[in-house]
Amino acid sequence: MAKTTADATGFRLSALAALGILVLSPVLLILYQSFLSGPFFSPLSTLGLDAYVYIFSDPDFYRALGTTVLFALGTIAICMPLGAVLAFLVTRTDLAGRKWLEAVVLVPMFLSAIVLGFGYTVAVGPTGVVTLAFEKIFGPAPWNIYGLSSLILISGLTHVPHVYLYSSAAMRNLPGDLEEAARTSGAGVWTVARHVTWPLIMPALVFSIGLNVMLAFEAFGLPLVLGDPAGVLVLTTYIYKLTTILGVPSYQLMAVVAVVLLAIIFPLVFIQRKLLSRSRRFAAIGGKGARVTRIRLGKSGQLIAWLGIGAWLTISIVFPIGGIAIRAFVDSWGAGVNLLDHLTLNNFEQLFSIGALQRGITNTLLLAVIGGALAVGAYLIIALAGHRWSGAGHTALDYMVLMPRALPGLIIGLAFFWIFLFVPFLQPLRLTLFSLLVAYIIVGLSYGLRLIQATLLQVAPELEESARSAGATIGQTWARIVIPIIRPGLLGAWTMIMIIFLREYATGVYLMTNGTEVIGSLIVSLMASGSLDTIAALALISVVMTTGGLVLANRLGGKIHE
Amino acid sequence: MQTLKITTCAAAFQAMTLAALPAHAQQAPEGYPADYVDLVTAAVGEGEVNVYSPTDSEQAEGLIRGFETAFPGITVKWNDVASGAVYNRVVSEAAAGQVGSDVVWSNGLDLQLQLVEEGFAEPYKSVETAHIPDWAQYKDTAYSTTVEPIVFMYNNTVFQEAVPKNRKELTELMDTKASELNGKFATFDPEKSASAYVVMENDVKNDAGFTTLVDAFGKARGKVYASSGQLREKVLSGEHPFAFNINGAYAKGWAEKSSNLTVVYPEDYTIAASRTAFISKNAPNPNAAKLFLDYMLSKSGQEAVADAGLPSVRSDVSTDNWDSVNKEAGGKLVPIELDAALLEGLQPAKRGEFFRNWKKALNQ
Amino acid sequence: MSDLIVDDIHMHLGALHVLQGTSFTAKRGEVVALLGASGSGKTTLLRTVAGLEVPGKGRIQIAGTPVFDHSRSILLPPEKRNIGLVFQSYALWPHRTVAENVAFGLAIRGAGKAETAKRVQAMLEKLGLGHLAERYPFQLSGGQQQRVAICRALVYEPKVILLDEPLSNLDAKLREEARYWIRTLILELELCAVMVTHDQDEALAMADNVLLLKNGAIVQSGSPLDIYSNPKSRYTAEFLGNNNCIDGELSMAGGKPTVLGPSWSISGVLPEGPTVANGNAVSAIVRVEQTAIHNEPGPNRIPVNLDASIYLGNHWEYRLSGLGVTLKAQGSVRREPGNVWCELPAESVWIFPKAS
Repeated sequence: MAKTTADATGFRLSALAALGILVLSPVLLILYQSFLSGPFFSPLSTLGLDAYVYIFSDPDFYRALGTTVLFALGTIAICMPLGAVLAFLVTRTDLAGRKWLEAVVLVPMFLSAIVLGFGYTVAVGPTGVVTLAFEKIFGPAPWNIYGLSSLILISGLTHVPHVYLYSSAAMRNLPGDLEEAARTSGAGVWTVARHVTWPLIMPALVFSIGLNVMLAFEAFGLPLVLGDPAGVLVLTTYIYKLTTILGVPSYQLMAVVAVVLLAIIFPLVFIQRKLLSRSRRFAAIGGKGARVTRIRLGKSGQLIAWLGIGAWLTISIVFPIGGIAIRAFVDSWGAGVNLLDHLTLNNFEQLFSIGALQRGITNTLLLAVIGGALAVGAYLIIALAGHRWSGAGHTALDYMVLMPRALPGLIIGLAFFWIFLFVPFLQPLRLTLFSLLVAYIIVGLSYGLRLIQATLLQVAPELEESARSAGATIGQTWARIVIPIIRPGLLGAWTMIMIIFLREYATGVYLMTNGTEVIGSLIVSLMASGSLDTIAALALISVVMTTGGLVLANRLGGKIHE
Repeated sequence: MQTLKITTCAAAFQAMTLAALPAHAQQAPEGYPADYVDLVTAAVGEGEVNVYSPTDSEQAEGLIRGFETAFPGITVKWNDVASGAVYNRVVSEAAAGQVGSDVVWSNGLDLQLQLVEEGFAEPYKSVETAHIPDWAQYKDTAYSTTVEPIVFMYNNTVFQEAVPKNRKELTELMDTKASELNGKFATFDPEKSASAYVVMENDVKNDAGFTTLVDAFGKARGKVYASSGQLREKVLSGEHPFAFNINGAYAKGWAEKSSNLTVVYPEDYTIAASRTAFISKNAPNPNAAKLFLDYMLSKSGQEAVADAGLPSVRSDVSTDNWDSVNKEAGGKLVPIELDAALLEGLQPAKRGEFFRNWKKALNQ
Repeated sequence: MSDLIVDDIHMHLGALHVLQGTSFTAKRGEVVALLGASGSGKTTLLRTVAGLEVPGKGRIQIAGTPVFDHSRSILLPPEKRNIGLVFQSYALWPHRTVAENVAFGLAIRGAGKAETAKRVQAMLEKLGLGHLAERYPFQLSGGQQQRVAICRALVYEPKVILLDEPLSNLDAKLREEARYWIRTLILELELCAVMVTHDQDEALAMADNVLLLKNGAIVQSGSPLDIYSNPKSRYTAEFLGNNNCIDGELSMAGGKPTVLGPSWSISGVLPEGPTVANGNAVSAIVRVEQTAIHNEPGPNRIPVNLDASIYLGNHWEYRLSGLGVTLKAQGSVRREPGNVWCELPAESVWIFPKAS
């Protein structure tokens, strides 16, 4: 009798291999492309380092790289502390209105960054509504939304939800006694957060840093809208320029920059793993659920907290969403314009006259809702494969999770377009929504997988061991014990993935075809023909619907959870 | 929008009365050679035609409906392919032996010709060539289908200067009031937009003083944008109250919606950009492709597109067309010709030189 | 025949040798207690039996089936071992009702619906939980949760039932109750039970066979009576019971082993096992309940000062100090502080080498 497969090693390895194929095939294709003199499919292309020589001798590249590093560090420096504080206030204290806040916090994530940036222009740009009103009363406005510092500030503030999401998920299940112990030994709210709560959720925080660094490196929309007018060049806007610089699209140059972005992953994940090697273990929920006792803030505490939150809400939600909302209802705005004279519903009417809209909406909803569920299923399989599994496989997983995040959506889309085009058995799938779904699953991987992994780690090991000893195989244990227990976490991940899929636009640019249009594509073509008024109407509808959906999901999720 | 709908319907109706009968009877449309019937029959047998185009399906709706009414049994499958992605899509699909396009219709004129040169297009002498100007034809393969004037646009409530009517006045204004009008001018970014580059290339060709304009633009700290959408909002809001090298086909529509926008046809010359179509090599529906290309160039096809805001290259149509646009431009309309010069502009060396000068001017 | 054979189990955790060749057997209708301080390897040993930890070497056989045999490369996963396991935290699945928790093992084994329902209900009723079947775990008290956990582990009639500190989460009163009914249940159902505990009272009260572990090795095993009254090492002697310990020098004068202190001498017995020689430093260990207080000197008595009498409800405890010794003794009356003599009966005094 041979050794049994007590650890479902076969399943784990195949899931890891499947993920490896999905993640590495676009990555390797891009790597290969970077070493060629032309498109990889062209017989005229030859191997060589020409593309690297070109990029590495271009002063613009170094300028963009330097700016991007600054941009990423600045974004982290702002969003990490704020996100962690916000998560602490919402999950661990008696902050007034936290239920309501919980539903609103994620709003900056609902819109693609390019639309968000546009919202800022309408609100606080040089001729923005707020700016003009300010100038009327106080004289010249002291701010300028174009430039690296404003870009960092806005990026930092709008990335707070990303940190909040992961930290709050981890904090929510923290047993309250750990904090109570600190409180009774005389620590104030702030000290508790700093010395107890945050260190306990260190893995989530460290992951958030990694994710947000990657997000900053691949950010395109905000740098384009807020950086470009001031000549701020980052790697992604640099890629944009590369596409036309040589006349015909020069994929090899784009590939080199993509490889540079990918290379950032390795030191990042390495540091991440080093930081976590000692505090790898999460606080776990045992067989008996821990009741969270909320820390009382007191009157002045509430006031201070709400002053901060109010400022954040104003800058990262009221300004951009308000800007979009205004633009959706007017036909003109800016200097010398009385908005009330220009109110109109035409933008919405125009929206409904777009023929592809219905198809776009149907496809987007299909991708977000059903595709999102399938994606969560895929992430769950991968998460289970890595669950309580140490060794090389787990290391590989850590690297692969962040890898797709290093690549701008446009490039992932391009790589998958090629894969579906050139891999014979995939060809029939290219013209279906399936190809988009695969690309979307990869794009959402870093977000979704991590949420599920964290939830899984909170299931106390003996809940699984007791099922095993009662006679259940590892598969039965997952199916009947683990998955039902983490259902709220899965619902959360699903909501999150839906939000990401709804707003995604770059990934579809190359993959989309007749019959598989998504709303993101409409935005791209509307942008090209100048219809930002229509985009604003579309974006506003999408924000309202997403918020509504989220509130509904919260209610539903809450009911299921009870 | 209401008017657009009505006109589209009208166009469709017109197309129906003109073409429905012959198609049903499998006869050649009026004035077409008799054996055209065979082509129609073969095309109906194919049943569909795939079009790759950055022109969104909203603007193409009249064209699509008109064609489907004229040739029942053939469905138009519109693929909304972003401007920068058209070339890649065609080249990649050809390399994979998976050609999906029958007709490719794009405003990236240089790349369209490049595709023709590289053998990705199928030569076809359209039956409509007699009505199409020479500048709009290339090697009996590619045809320009629209007239899109490249204009100035300004915000008439914010822009208080005497409005420049030509490039010379614009250059002078930017030069003399560089500090006063600091950051008030904007244009399309040739580094990020291929079609903006093509237009500027033609500017250089048409106007010996264009480099001084670029210098003055740089001196006045003008801003560049990568999309029509951004440019429109910047002028509309008065952030940059004046912009040049705007696509007039769009700008006219914006000015109709927002009263504070005014369009100026530069009186020295007005470049007419366009969208060029060709039939793909190894197109899956070669006959339907020919039929669709002919229809695009035909009177009813041209009128349908013109009704959606993109004027016709033909002079014998009732809608906006070359003549009417030329009249508005004071007879100074200069087309971007489909010729070798467009291809030269794709040479890295030439582009490199242009961009070096461009950046030097902007970063002064 | 033994239902459980554990033979020469070795296990390493990194550089730490947590199980050092542990062996024991257990049979039907018998409770084996693995007793030890924390870190002694008792829980690890239990988990190797359950298949939750994989030893590096050794052999485990359950009901005649080898479930682990290093030399033959046999390793059955937990679900193939036909065991029942009760966790210290009970590990009840929060998303399942009591009945669903208990039914799980039967459902996995493919029992029919009606059959399952019947057996689950019978099991619950047996443990007095019949009326709680539809409740969720968080709606139960600790004692009820523990019983559900036991029901869940027993309902499919496993060959061996393993209990990991089953009583540690109960309050004192419930714990004493549980000791009794769990043992009764095991005997009644003729189960083969292995229990892990750090509580000597629990081990003594519940087990037929107690295995005392230290650093991953069994120090001594035997019946509760045997292990309590015949310790073969100082560790065993001290681990069990409430003890007095006094240090001195061994004298074998007159063939009677005696411990010599600064101003006293106490004779005792040398348990089999450790060897000590004349003049060695030794410790005399005696259970507190064997120690008595007298008002006058006598054989095997040490003059001490009674420092305090502490009231413990059913008896008094006396704190005593003398030259180089501190002692405890028990009695039924309160005594005033003062000079007394403390008697350590020679047959109850075990003499062990001091260094150990």
